[in-house]
Amino acid sequence: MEEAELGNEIVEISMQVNGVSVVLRTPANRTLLSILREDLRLTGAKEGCGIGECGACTVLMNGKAVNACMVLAPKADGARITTIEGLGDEARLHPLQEAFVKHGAVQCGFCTPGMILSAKALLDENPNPTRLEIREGISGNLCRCTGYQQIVDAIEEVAARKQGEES
Amino acid sequence: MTTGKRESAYRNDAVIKVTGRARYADDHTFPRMAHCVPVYSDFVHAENLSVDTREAARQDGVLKVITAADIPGAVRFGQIERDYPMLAEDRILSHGDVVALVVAETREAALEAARQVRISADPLPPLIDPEEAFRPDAPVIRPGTKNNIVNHHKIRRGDARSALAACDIVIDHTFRTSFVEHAYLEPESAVCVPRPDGVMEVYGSMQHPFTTRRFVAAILGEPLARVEIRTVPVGGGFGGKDDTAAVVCARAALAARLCDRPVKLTYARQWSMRESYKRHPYVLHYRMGLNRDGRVQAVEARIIADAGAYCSTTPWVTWRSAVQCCGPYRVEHVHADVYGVATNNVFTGAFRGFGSPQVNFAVEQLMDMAAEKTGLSPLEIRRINMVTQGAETITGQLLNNHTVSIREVMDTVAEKIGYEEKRARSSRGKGDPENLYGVGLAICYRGASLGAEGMDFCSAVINCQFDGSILLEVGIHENGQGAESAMILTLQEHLGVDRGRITYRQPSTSSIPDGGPTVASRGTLMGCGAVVLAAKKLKKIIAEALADTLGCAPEKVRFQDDAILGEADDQRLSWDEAMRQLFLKRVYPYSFAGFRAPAVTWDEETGQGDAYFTYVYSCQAVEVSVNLKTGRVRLLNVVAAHDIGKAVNRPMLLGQIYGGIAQGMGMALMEKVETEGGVIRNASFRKYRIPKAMDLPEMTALIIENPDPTSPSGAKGIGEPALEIIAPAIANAVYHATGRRMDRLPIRIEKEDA
Amino acid sequence: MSYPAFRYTAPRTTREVVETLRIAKEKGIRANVLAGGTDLMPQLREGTTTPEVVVDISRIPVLKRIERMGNEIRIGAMVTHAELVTSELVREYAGVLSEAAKMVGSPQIRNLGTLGGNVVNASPAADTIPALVILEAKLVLKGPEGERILSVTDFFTAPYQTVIEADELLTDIVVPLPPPSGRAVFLKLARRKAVAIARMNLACMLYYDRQKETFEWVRLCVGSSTPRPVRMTEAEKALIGKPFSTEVLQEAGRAAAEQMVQLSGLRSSTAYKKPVVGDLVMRAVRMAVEKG
Repeated sequence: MEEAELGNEIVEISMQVNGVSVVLRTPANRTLLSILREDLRLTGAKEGCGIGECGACTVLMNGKAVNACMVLAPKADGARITTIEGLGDEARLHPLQEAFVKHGAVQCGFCTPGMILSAKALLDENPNPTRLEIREGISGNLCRCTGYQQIVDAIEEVAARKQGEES
Repeated sequence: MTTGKRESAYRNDAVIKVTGRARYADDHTFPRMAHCVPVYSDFVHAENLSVDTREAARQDGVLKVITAADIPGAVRFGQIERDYPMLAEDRILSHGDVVALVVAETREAALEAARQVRISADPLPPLIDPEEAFRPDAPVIRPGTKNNIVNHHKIRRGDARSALAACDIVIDHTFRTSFVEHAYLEPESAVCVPRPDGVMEVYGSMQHPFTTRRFVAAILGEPLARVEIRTVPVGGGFGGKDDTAAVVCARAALAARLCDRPVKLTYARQWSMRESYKRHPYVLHYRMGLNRDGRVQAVEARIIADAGAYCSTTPWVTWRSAVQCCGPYRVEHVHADVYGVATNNVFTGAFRGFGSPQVNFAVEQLMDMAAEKTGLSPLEIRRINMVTQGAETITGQLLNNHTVSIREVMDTVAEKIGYEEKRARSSRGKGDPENLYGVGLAICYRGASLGAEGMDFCSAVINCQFDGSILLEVGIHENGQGAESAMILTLQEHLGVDRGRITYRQPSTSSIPDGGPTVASRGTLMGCGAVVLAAKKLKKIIAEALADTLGCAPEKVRFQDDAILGEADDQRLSWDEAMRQLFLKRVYPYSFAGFRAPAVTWDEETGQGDAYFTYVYSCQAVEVSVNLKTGRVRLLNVVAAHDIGKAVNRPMLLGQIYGGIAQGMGMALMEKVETEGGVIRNASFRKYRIPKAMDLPEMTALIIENPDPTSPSGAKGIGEPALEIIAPAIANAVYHATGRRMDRLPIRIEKEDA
Repeated sequence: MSYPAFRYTAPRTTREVVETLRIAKEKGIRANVLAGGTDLMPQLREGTTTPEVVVDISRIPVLKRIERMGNEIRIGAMVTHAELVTSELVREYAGVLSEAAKMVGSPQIRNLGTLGGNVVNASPAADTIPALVILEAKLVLKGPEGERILSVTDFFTAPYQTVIEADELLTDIVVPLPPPSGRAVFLKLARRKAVAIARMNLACMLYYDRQKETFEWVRLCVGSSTPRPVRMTEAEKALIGKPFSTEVLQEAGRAAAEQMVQLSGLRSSTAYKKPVVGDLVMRAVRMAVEKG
C-alpha cells in the first residue's frame, strides 16, 4: 500500500496530438519532446539546448506555448498538444507559415517551427501586437541566422491581415 | 542602390521548413540503429592517459566502448595539420578532448555506461595565455613541435620603422578580443549507415561534405569513394560546422563500422560548447603613423591569435587577418606579423568573418582616433585614405579588375543615417549619464572567396529531362543561407525557363566533384559561377541540336520565356517540345561545368601578391544609447550597405545582412566564452547569452550593385561582410557617446562611481 | 533525452501529496515535488538533482485557484506566472506581483513556471519574491501534522535554502489586501559584469500623503542582493515622515546600499551592486510617488 503511493516508473499517457488521440505507455523519466520526436516521429520540434532557453522545442499545450523539453512526459497526460505538423501542411499553409515563406523569415530553419508556434500563441492572445510586442512575444525563441527582422515582418503582416478581416 | 523593399522571397526549402517536415540529421532513424555518446576526461593537459572501458562495456545494452586503439585508420586528422585526435591517445591537450565512445542500444544506456569509463592520467600544468605560450622559453604543448607558434604571416612593404619615425602623429594602441561561440541552434549530429555495398553513408549536420568525407575516410582507413556524405538540412553553421562537425561524423562512422550497424551520435548542447572550436581571441598591438593632413603613412602591427590546442584552420584565418590588417586603406609602409599560438584552451577555427572582425575592430577604431587627432571628420579621414579605382593594396595588388566602390558605399550609409549631423549631437560623455547618445561607423573591404588560402573551384551539373523538368546539382552546400535557391534563380535566369521546372538535386559527395568548402562567402560567387558556365554549355548543346529546326545558325538561338527561339519570334519551340525533339535526335540536354576562380598569387616572405581575385565593399553605422549607471549599451539603429556585385535573391541577401549584424552585435556587446584554466565556464545557453529579438533594433540594409566581371554571375558574397564591422561601428558609437575608447571585446562599460 | 529512472506519481489531493512525501522521508527515499518544472527539469538533465520519486502536483485543482477570501487573496502554489499576469484579481489587488511575474523568463517559461515553484526553489534572483515580501505575503505549508503559516520573510534562510521540510507541501500564498492608498513599482535590472549576469530587482510600495507632503508608509525589498530576501527597513525609515525631495531620496538610497552591504558582507558583487541598489531605490520611490 505504502509503496503504491510512491508511484511507478512506467506511466500511461493519453493526449490529443494535432487532433489525434494518442495513448502510450512509457517510462516516466522522459520529456514531452522525446515522446513527440521519438515515439510519435513528430520531429518538427527540435532540441537546441534541453534547458528551456532556446525555444526550438516550442509546442502548444492546451493552447499555450511551452518548451517541450521542460515538460515531463506524464505531465502532458490529458493535454491537447499542437506541434508544427498540426498547424498546416504543404497544400494548406497556416497564414503564419505562408508569411514566413513570403518574408524570407526562414534560413537554416531549425528555430522556425518553435518560432511559428510562439507567434501563433502570441496572436491568439494579442491579435494586434506592436512590433515591440512581437519581439517580446518571441523572446523565448532564439534565432542565430536572421537577426529576427524578417520574422517580425512576417508576424506583423499576419496580425495586420487578421485585423483587416475583422474590420 | 536598392533598399530593403518587401518582395516575396524565394527559397526552395522554405515550405518544408515552416511545416516541420525538413529532416535534419537527428531527425533520421534507421532500423537497428544504435546510439553513441562521447566520453570526456576532467583533464585539460595531461600525459600517460589510460582509459579502462571494462566496467562500461559490461553495462546493459552496451554494444561497444571504443578508444583510439580501435581506430582502423588515422587517429589524428585535420584540414591543414593532421594533429586533431579524433579520440585521445596518450595525451590530453584540452578539456574538449574525447577519450572514448560508448555505443549502446539506446542513448540512455550509452549515457549511463559512459559514467563507468575509468580515466587516469598524469596532469600537466595547462598553458592558457597565448602571450605566455609565445615566449621562446615557454613549455612546448604539442609533441613533435619546436615551439608553440602554429604559423607566422608577414606583410613587408616599404620601411615602416623609418616612416613611423618621420610621422607627425603616431597612435599606439592594443586591442583584445575574446573567444566567441558560433551558437548554431542545432548541435552537431551524425547518423552513419554501413551499406551492403560496403560504402559508409553519412547523414550529418555539417557545412562541408567533402571535408567531412576526408575525415570519415581517414578514421576508417578507407578510400574517399567508399564514403558517401548525403546532404541534409543543417541547423546553422557560420563556419562552425567544420572540423568538429566532421569529427562527429567520423566518430559515428567509426562506431557504425565497428558495430556494423547504423549509429547515431547527437551532441547535447553542453558537449557542443565544450568541444567545438571558437572564434580566435586576438591581441592586436598597432602603431599607426600619419601626417597632420590625415594621410596614413605607416602601420606596424603585431597580432597574436590564440589557436587553442589544435591547428584547425588557424593558418588560414590569420592569413586573412594579415592581408586585411590595414583595412581598406592605402598604406605605403607596413610591417605586420600575425601569429597563431598554441595553448591548452579550446581550439579555435573558422567563424563567419574568419580573422577579419578582429583586425577591423582595431583598424576602424584607429581611424576614428586618427580623425580626432587630426581634427578631421571620421568620414573625411577615411575618404583620404581609402582605396580607389586602380589603387594598390598593402599587399601590392592593383584594384583594377572590378569596381572599387568603398566611397560610394560609405557615403550611402553616412547619408542614410545622417552621420555628420548625429555625430555633432553625440554626447561625448556630457549630459544624462543614464542616457548618453552616440553614432559610429566602420568600413571594410573583404577579399572574396578563399584567395591564396586554397584551391578555388566548383562545379555544376544541369540534367534536363525529356519531359521538360530540370535537375540542377552544384558542389556547394546549403547551410541555411539559401545557397540552393540562389543556384536555382541563376539557372532560371540563364536558361529563361519557368522556375517550377527546376528541381535542386541535393548532391552527395559521390554524385558531384569536390566543390570545396562552402565558406568564405564563396557559395554564391563560386556556385552561381559554375551554374552560369554549365548553362552556357547546355545552351550550346541545345542550340546546335535544334538550329536546323529553328532555321537559324546555332549562335542565333535564343532562350527566353520558357521557350527556345530562332531569329524570328515565330521560330519557336516550347521548352517541352524542344526536349521532345532532343529525345528524338538522341541528344542529351546535359552539361557539366567547373568554375575555376581567377588566379591569385602570394609570397609568404614578403606578404605581397594578388591575395584575392575581387573584393566586397561594406559600411555599417549604428546609433547607441549608453547608461553609465547600469553599464548598458543599447543599439538604437543600424544602417548597413554592401556592394555585393549583384543581388541574386534579394530577400535572402537582406536576411544575411540582418543576421550578420545580429551575430556581430552579440560579439560586440554580449558574448564571451569564459574560460578558467582551460575549462569553459559558461557552456550552456543559460550562461552564454546570444541576442534575442528584444536586444536588436530595426535595421536598414542597402544593397549596392556593381556586377563583378570576375564572377560569371556578377555576384560576390555577403555572409561575412555583414558581420565583420558592426563591432567597431558600435565601439566608435560608444566613444562618441561616452568619450571612452573601447579596446576590448565584448565591450564593457566600467561603472561610474556614484 | 531522458533522465535516470525514477518513480512518478500525480496525487489528486494535497493530503495524498503530503502522505507520499512522508512515506518517502520515512524510508529515506529522495522525493522531489514537481510543480511547473522550469527549475527541476534542467536540474534533472544536469544531474544536480537525482530523485527516486517525482511527485507531480499539477493534478490538484485547489492549487490552481486565485480567490479573494475576505481581506486576503489566496493564490494556489500551481498558479503560473502567466496567470498572475492576466488575473484580474491579482492585477487589481496585488499589481506588483503581476508586474514581477511579467518579468520572468520568456512566454514559454511563464506558461509553465509557477508561483509556488518560484518560492520553494528560493533562487535569489526570483522576480516574484521581492513582490511577495512587500505584499507581506504568508505561505501555507501543509505537513503530516497539519498546516503551518509563515511570513514569506521567515521562509528563506539562504540562497536556495528554505525552512520547508521534506514532507511538507507549499499549498497557498496568501496576500493580504494592501491599503488602497498604496502605490507600487517593480523594477528589474540585468547588468553584465564580465559574463556573469548580475540580476537585481526591486519591489516598492508606499503611500505618500500629498497634503501632508510626507511618506506615510513605505515597503521596500531588493532581490538578489542579500543572502535572503528582506525589507530594506533602513531605507524605509529614511523616508517615513519625510517629504519627497532629492535629499530624502538620496538618503534612502544610501541607507538601502548600507543595509545591503551589512547583510551581504563585502564581496566583489556587492561592491558593484552597492551604487546600483541606491539608484534603483531612488528610481522606484520616485516612480511610485509619481503614480499619484
